[in-house]
Amino acid sequence: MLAAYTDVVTFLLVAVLFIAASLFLGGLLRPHHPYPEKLSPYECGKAPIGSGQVRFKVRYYIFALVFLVFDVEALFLYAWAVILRQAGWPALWEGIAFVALLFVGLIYAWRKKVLKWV
Amino acid sequence: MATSLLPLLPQLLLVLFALAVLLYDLGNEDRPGLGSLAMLGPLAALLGLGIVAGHPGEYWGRMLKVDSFSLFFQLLTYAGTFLVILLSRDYVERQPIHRGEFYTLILLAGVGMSVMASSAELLMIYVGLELMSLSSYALVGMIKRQDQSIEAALKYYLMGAVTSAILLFGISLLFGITGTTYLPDIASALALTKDIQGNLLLIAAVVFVLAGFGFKVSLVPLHMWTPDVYQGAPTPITAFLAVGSKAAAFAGFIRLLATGLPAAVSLWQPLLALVAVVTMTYGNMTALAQTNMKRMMGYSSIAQAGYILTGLVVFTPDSLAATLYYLLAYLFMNIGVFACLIWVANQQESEEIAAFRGLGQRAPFYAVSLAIFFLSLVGIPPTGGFMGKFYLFFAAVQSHYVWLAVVMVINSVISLAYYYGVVRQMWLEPCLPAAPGAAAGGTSRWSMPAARASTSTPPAAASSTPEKAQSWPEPTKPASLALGVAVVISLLLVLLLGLYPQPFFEWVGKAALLG
Repeated sequence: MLAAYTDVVTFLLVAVLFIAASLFLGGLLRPHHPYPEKLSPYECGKAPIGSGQVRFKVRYYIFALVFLVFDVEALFLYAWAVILRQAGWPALWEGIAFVALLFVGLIYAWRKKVLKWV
Repeated sequence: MATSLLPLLPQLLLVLFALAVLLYDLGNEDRPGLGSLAMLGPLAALLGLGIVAGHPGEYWGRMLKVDSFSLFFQLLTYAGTFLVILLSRDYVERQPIHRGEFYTLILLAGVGMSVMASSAELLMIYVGLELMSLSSYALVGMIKRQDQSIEAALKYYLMGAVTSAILLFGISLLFGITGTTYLPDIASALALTKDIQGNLLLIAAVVFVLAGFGFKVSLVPLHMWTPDVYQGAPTPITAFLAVGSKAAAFAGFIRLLATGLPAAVSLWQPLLALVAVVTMTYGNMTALAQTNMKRMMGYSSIAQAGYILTGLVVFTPDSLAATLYYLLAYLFMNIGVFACLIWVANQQESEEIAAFRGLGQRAPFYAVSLAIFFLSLVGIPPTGGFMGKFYLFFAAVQSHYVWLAVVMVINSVISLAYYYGVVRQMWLEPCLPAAPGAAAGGTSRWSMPAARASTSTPPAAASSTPEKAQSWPEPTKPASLALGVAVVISLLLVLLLGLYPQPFFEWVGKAALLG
C-alpha cells in the first residue's frame, strides 16, 4: 500500500532537485553587475516612493470577499451553462435557485453599505 | 424532480427561514417579531421532518440518508435550535448583538448539524460540519465590543480550522486505502483487509478522523478551546455549542465508527477507552476549581463528553442506544442550566458562581429548576440524566467493561462536588443585595462588559460607552418570559425522560441500529 506513494515521493524529489539545480547553475553562469537603479523595485516606470510595507485599509478585504462570491458564481455558471441542454429543466431551476441565493447575499451586502467606500 | 427534493425538506425549510430572517432584518428598522420568525424555522423543520419520516431510504447518489438514526438526530438538532433561539430572545435585547445575523447564523448552523446527521457519506458529513463550524465561529464572536468574545472566536476558529484540516486529511487517507468515501463501502473494503493492526496508513487515518470529531465534542487532548470559548461566547451560543454542536459531532462520530469502521474496532476501541477515562476525570477535576459559571459548565461539558464516549467504546447496540438516550437528556438538562444562568446574569450582571447567592430566596422557581438540572447532570433519579447514565452503565457492565463503569461512577461522585457548590450558594449563603445597576434597568447593560474586562480598565471607559451605544435600542420590556418557557420545557422533558423512559428507550433502540 505504501509502495504506491513512491511515485509521489519521486515526483517531489525531482521537482525540488530540478529547481535547486537550475538556480545553482544559473547563478554560476549569469553575469553579476548590480547598481542602484537595477536594485530598486519596478513600479510601472515611476520612481518608487515610501516604504513597501504599508497597512491596507480593511475595506479592501470586504470588497475582496464580495468579489470572491461572484468569482465563484461565475465559475459554477460556466460549468452549468455547458451541460444545461443535456441536464434539462431541473438544472435550470437549480441554477436559478443558486443565483437567487447569491442575490440575497448581494442585497445583504448592499443594505449593510458594504459596497460604499467610506 | 419534486420527489427527489422531498428528503431534504426540513433542511430546505430551515434555509428558507434563515434567508427570510436575514431579509426581514434588512428591510425593517424596528424588526418586530424577528425572534418569533426565527423560532418558526425549527418548528417548520420539525413539521417537514414529520413528512420526511415516511420516506426512509437513500437519495441523491447516496449522499443523503433518511433513516431512524438521522431522524433522531435531526429532531435533536431542531429542538436544540428552537430552544437556543428561545434563550437568545432575552439575551440579544441586552447585549450589543446584531439580531438578524445572530438568528440567521443559528439557523444555518442548525442546517449544518442536520446535514451531518443525515448522511453516510464522509464528504457530505464534512460539508455539514463546516457549515456548522463556520456559523459557530462567527456566533462566538458576536459581541464585537467585548474582548473576551473576540478572543474566544479567534481561538475557536484557529483551532477548529486546523482540526478540520486534520479531519479532511484523515478522510483522504481513508479514501486512499479503500477507494471510497461512502461509509458502508469503506466498511466492506476494510472487512477484506487482513492486517488491520499493522496497517500504518489505516492507523493514521483512524487517528486523524477521530481527532477531527474529538475536537468538536471536546475530548481531552483536543479540549483546550472549550473553557475559553464557553466563557467568552454569548451565553445562548455557549448552550448551542454544548448541546447542538456536540450532538451533531457525536452523530457523525457514531455513524463513522458503527457504519464505516467496525472492522477496525481493535484499533480505535482501546484508544477511545483511554480518552474517555482521561476526558471525564480531567473535566471533573478541573471543574472543581472554577469560579465562573460558564467556565465551570465548559469543564462539565468536557466531563459529559467523556461519559457519552463510553457508550461508543463499549460498542454494542445497547450501548449506542444508551448514548443516544443520554444525548437526548443532555440536550434538555444543559439548555435548562443555561436558561437559569442567563436569567441570573440578567439580574446580577455577573456570571460568577457567587452571583447565585440566595437565589433560593429571590427566585425559588429558577433555583429549584437549576437544582433539578444539576441532579440530572450528576445522574441522580428521578431525572433523564440518571436514566441515561444508568443505561450507559448497564451496557458497559454487560459487555465486561466493568472498570469503565466504575470510573464513570467515581467521576459522577466527583462532579457532585462542584454542582453542589452552586446549590449551596443558592440556599445556604445569605442573599446578596441587588447589583446597583440592576434596578435601573437597561442603562446598566453596559457595565457588564466593562466589569468583566481586565481590572486595569479605568472607570471612565464605562461611562463613555453609552454614547457610542446610542444606536442600540433600549429594552422596552423585561422579556424574561421566553427564559421561563425554556426552563419549563426543559424541566418537563428532563423529568419525563427520568420517570417514563420506556417509549424514548424503544425509540433510541431503533435509531441506534443505524438502519
